[in-house]
Amino acid sequence: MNEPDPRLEQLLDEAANSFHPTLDVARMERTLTGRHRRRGLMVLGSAAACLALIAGGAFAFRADGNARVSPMQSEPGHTTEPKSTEPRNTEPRNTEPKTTEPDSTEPDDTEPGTTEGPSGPTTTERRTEPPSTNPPKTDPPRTEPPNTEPHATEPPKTDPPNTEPPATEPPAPVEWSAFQVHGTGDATPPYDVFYGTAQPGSIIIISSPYGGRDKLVGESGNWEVKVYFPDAPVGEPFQVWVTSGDHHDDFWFTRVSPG
Amino acid sequence: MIVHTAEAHGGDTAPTLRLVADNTRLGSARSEVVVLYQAHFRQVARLAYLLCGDTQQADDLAHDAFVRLYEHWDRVDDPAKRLAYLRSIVVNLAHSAHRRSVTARRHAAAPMLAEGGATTSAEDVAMSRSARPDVIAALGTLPDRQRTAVVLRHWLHMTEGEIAQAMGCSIGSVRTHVTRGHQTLALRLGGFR
Repeated sequence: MNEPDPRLEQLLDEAANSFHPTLDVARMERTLTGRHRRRGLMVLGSAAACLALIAGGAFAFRADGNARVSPMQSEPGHTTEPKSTEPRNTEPRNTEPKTTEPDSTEPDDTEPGTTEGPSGPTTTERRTEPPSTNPPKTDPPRTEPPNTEPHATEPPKTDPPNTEPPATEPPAPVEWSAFQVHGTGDATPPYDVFYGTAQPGSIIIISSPYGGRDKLVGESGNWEVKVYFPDAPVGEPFQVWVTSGDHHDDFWFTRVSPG
Repeated sequence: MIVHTAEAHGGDTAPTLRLVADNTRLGSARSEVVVLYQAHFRQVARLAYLLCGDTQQADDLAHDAFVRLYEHWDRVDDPAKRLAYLRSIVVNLAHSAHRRSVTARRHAAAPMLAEGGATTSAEDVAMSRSARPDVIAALGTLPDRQRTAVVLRHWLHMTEGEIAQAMGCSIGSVRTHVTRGHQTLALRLGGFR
């Protein structure tokens, strides 16, 4: 009974041949192209993420004697660290009075007896001046002029070392990148997710004939946008533009089923 | 080949070349699937029609089968096995579709009965267009696996081993399904032997 039955074969043939399926090569090519782009983007994205992880780890890991993880700025710190100490060495020349100011309160009585006296009479004079500032009521004419002079010179010289470290932090330009997650969609309504990196504060504009959206890039520089295409036709790929300033990227999206 | 060469050099270009190789492979797979589609789509769609009994669904199933073949292109290195793999995909897709339609029919049974059965379903319309609606209807009454086994054996002339591979069961099970399906069809279609 498992042998081919001619009568049943004929019946099945007649039934099958009554169905005339439409060969739509263009539809198949479009579907496969959408899958191809999606797979390619996924491979490319994963490879880029791996490279970014490896590169980030290599830069963040210091190759000093004591290996430790430190931020990116500490790597060129070989040059910045001595700079940070140098100004401290130079500071005392101008900041001597400032350093003596807080000290002056402690050794009010010990100043005359200190051995630092031979270092120079000017320093002793200045040291004597600050105590006079503490009690300004007693000697206003003497204390006021010398107090204003060092104060006027102190702030501009002491401020720069404070402003140096923050000056090196902000300049970190974020490279432009844009990626597409799906490329095709059978959800209702169909949607796609775009993500990437851009300059913080910039605006990402996603536009297409069937939907779009804007997004303000956050401080981290990373952005991600989910865009719905409710009126997209089934099986017809259309272009989706991702722009931000001078940067432009275009992607394709295909709605694969009516949902 | 490209990947091996890149890795042999051991340089940083390996990931890039691997991506290029992947894209080339995917591109050639796409063109080969399109060639297969042009050559076998009609037969695959008719197989799906005999298995599911609905023209629109058969068209979708056949289309989805080629997309699945493209997605799993790495699994079929042997070109001779691609058509068999494609038929397996159709069988599985039709099986899943049949399960879904049974569930849908079960939930939709109450309102249709309430209307006195005056409505005609899409399947009824499709079968009325068929040259042999009685055959399609008789196939529709068979259990899913019996219908698959009968169609693969008596329409595609596949061997019991090939059917077992396509259905994912033993040859003994295939014999049982074919025999019982054949008997049932003979009863419903007035006997054809």
